[in-house]
Amino acid sequence: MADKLKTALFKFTCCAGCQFQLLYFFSPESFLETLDLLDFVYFRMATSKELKEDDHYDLAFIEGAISTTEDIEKVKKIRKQSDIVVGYGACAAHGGVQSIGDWTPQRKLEETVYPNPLQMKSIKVHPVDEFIRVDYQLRGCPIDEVEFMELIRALAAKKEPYLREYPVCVECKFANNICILLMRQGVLESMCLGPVTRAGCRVACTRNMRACFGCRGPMTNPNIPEMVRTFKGKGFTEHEIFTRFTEYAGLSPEFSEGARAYYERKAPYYERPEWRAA
Amino acid sequence: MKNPYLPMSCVIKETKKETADIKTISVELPDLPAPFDYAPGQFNQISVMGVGEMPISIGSRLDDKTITHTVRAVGEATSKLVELDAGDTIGLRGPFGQGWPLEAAAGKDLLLATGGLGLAPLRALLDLIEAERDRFGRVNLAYGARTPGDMIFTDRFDRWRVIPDFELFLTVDHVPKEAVWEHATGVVTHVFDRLTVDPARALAFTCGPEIMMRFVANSLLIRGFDQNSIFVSMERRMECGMGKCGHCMIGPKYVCIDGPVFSYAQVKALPHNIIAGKGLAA
Amino acid sequence: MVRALKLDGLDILIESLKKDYLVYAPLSRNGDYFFSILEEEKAYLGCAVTIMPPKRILQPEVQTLFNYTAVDGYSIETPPLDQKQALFGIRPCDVHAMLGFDRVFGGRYEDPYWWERRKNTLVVAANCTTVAEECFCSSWGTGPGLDANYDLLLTDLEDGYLLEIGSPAGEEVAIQLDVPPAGEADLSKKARLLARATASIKKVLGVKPTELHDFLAERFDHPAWQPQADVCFSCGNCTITCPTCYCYNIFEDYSPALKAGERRSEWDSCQLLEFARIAHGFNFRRTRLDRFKHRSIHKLSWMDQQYQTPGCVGCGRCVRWCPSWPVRRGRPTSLADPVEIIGDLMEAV
Ligand SMILES: Cc1cc2nc3c(=O)[nH]c(=O)nc-3n(C[C@H](O)[C@H](O)[C@H](O)COP(=O)(O)OP(=O)(O)OC[C@H]3O[C@@H](n4cnc5c(N)ncnc54)[C@H](O)[C@@H]3O)c2cc1C
Ligand code: SF4
Ligand code: SF4
Ligand code: SF4
Ligand code: SF4
Ligand code: SF4
Ligand code: FES
Repeated sequence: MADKLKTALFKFTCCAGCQFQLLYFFSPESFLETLDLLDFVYFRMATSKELKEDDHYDLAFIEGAISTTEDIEKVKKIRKQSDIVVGYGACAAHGGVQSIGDWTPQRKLEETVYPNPLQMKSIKVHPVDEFIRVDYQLRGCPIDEVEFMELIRALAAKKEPYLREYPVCVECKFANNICILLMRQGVLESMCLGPVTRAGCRVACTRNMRACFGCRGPMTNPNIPEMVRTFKGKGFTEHEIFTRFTEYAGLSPEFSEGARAYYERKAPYYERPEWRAA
Repeated sequence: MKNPYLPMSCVIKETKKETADIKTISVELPDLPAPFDYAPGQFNQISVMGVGEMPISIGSRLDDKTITHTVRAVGEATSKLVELDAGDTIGLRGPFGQGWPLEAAAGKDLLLATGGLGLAPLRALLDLIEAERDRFGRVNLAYGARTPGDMIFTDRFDRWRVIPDFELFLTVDHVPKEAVWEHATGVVTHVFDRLTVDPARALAFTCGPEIMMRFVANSLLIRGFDQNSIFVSMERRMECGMGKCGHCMIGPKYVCIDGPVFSYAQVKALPHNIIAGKGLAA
Repeated sequence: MVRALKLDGLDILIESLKKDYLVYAPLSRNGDYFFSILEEEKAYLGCAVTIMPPKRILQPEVQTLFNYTAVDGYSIETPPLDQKQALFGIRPCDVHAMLGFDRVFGGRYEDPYWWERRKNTLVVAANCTTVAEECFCSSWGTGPGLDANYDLLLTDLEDGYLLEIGSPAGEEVAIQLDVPPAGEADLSKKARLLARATASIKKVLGVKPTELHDFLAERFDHPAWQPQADVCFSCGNCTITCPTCYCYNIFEDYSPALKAGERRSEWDSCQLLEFARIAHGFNFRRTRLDRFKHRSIHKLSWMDQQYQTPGCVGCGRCVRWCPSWPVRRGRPTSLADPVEIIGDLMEAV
């Protein structure tokens, strides 16, 4: 048996739900067996072990998005200390829920939330791979248990994990589901992003008659213009379309294309601050 | 019912490094009710258990129970395969596919034009030419590679050169400074001016990257080869090797059971390939 | 003449089947139908285009090919497939699709997984006396009535059910039923109902099946392909729900030390980007156009050339489940709809 992988899990801007998910997973034996391949030297939620400066990791999970300049330094350091870096969850992959804010000027956001915005040091949120190379990405909000196991076993066996690239629709049909995009009319629950979202969640949402809201981000080469046209044809408003595309993975080039299509906004980062507009 | 999905487990007898990323692997077959019979140009599905299966052309037969495969590490499964050594076990099922058209080739001149690893699927045929020289007319082997270091089976070249009525033309794209190279440079079609086979009574067999086969075929058509006399060996993604999984389909043809060897005339009628351009109409 | 019985209701037949078989039947859920194990619910016998075709019972989405352990080489174990099962209420089009699979999984290399399940499966087909909007089986001759290749065949006669017996295995079930034989009137009523059903099919393929090969070959470079491909999601719904689509992948599940594992097959679709991709990311059907064309022509012509069995049986599932609905000839149409694809190609250049 190969040595255990020395593993650390770091949290950045997020709800820590994906970390929690690891503890919460319905734990069949095979899951515990897989978890046993890891030696967690740092995992705040589950162990009391303290972080050692300048430690070296076989495997580092990075949970959450990057939202301060210190975060950037930190992830760069983690990259240097680790052999394999895994982006952990939707926030690390695409910015996650808080990335919705990226579509509004930072100053406006801060003014809405904080009494004294001039003291804030945060920047817009960014996916982790904006700053460092990420070797593998566990997508989703939250991550999927089976995919997690596949990745860990593959890493332990030193082979490539079999992560699906196809859209959610494939798994949706494997699950014998009714297509809610086609069958339900007029409700947001039928605004399904499945045809452009990458599978791997085993249709957590459509299985329960809820539209996929794209938490796993785009599949490879999605047909975004057609998705927008389909939503428009179903009578959804520009704002609804914008919101659906930006809910979890709006920072991905693909979904941001969808977000911009009918909502005359510029991509995040390119929004000109209002004070300079005139 | 025999289960064609089940691989036989075979032990690797020896391995030989051909180039930096290519290795020849000799495998010992288990005891079989009948001898493992294959035709030059056919392939086996080789499994590295836990990793996956890959189609690999069958090379030489060393003795009754030992055959060779020559493999380049390009991805997951091939990389694991070339890491293996003598004594390791692999899975094997086969042989699959239609090999080179030996019946049509009887008594004819042969031009074998190939590049890089493309020589591997011709190895069994070269063995056959050596063993049964009278079956064919004059034989030319035109072999190109990127650099001299990328050539495989170099230890066989001298053996082939002494086969009667057999010419070996070597060429490389590029000679590194420190290397000694006394043969041609340029792509493989550059040596075609020196061919000694007669286009009117020759068959041409070619194997290599599809773009190379395109140039070879075009060049041969200009030199008077008939499109029914040029044969190519094609590569597609394969899973089953038995005409069921659909992956290797090119139009209505399956590379795994209708090929991998096709005539140029056949390929011309197929879509989605580089050799003869695209289009369904001939 | 085939032996035929007249049933008042289906319960007696279902009860009898359940004694020896695991019974699958179309069940209703939220107004749609899907094939599943029949327990307490009522089987639906109207013309139901189930979401997934019954192929998933004979060739599951993911199936185990074998397990292996690394001791003295590899020791291999295959799963037992001896469950006796009945497909209750399978439609004529789906029966034809199953016959197509017999050809795909037959031939020189017989697929033992298919054939083991197939031989243990009793086909209790049901003729369609009503048809769904998406059906166009009559264009292919694959429905709405079935002439052969069943063990038992049901027809809803409104005042009861006609049960025709098509095989010794069917006879074994029928013999246990204590019901009277059907009369001449029942058989002529069946013929009448089927004629009515055929007449009610509004969807017609614009080109005769025998002429499709030439029709498509001539139009391989037709400009109508591109605008269709442009609105395709490459989502695979049209092939995964298609009863004649057989493509699959083979992959491994393994222990971390690679000493034991399982080789499995999983359905795949030629519409997906990765389908024809090889090492170094090279892809022979990289564009949506190439994939859309491959699927359409494989269904409508190439599969027939390969196996002498139609690649489409007119079941209408792709029509129903394709998420892309472009406007063609003034109406919103399902992009994957073979009738509409042919319609586009019929338009002059
Ligand atoms: C008829 C035939 C004969 C071949 N003979 C040889 C040979 O003698 N020596 C040799 O080194 N290689 C040969 N190849 C190519 C070899 O099969 C591929 O390099 C190999 O499958 C790559 O697998 P991988 O897992 O390493 O690559 P990955 O890129 O990791 O593979 C991913 C998937 O794509 C498939 N795939 C990738 N590349 C190819 C390819 N080129 N052809 C078919 N499927 C592919 C694999 O089956 C796998 O499922 C042959 C291919 C064919 C079709
Ligand atoms: S419900 Fe959504 S994911 Fe499922 S098939 Fe329809 S569009 Fe695809
Ligand atoms: S169905 Fe969509 S939103 Fe739901 S878990 Fe899957 S990818 Fe995320
Ligand atoms: S192509 Fe469409 S209509 Fe034809 S058999 Fe397949 S799913 Fe049914
Ligand atoms: S249409 Fe595509 S998925 Fe279906 S059988 Fe043909 S090649 Fe396979
Ligand atoms: S034709 Fe329709 S169902 Fe098929 S891949 Fe395209 S969008 Fe999906
Ligand atoms: S490899 Fe499966 S059909 Fe050819």
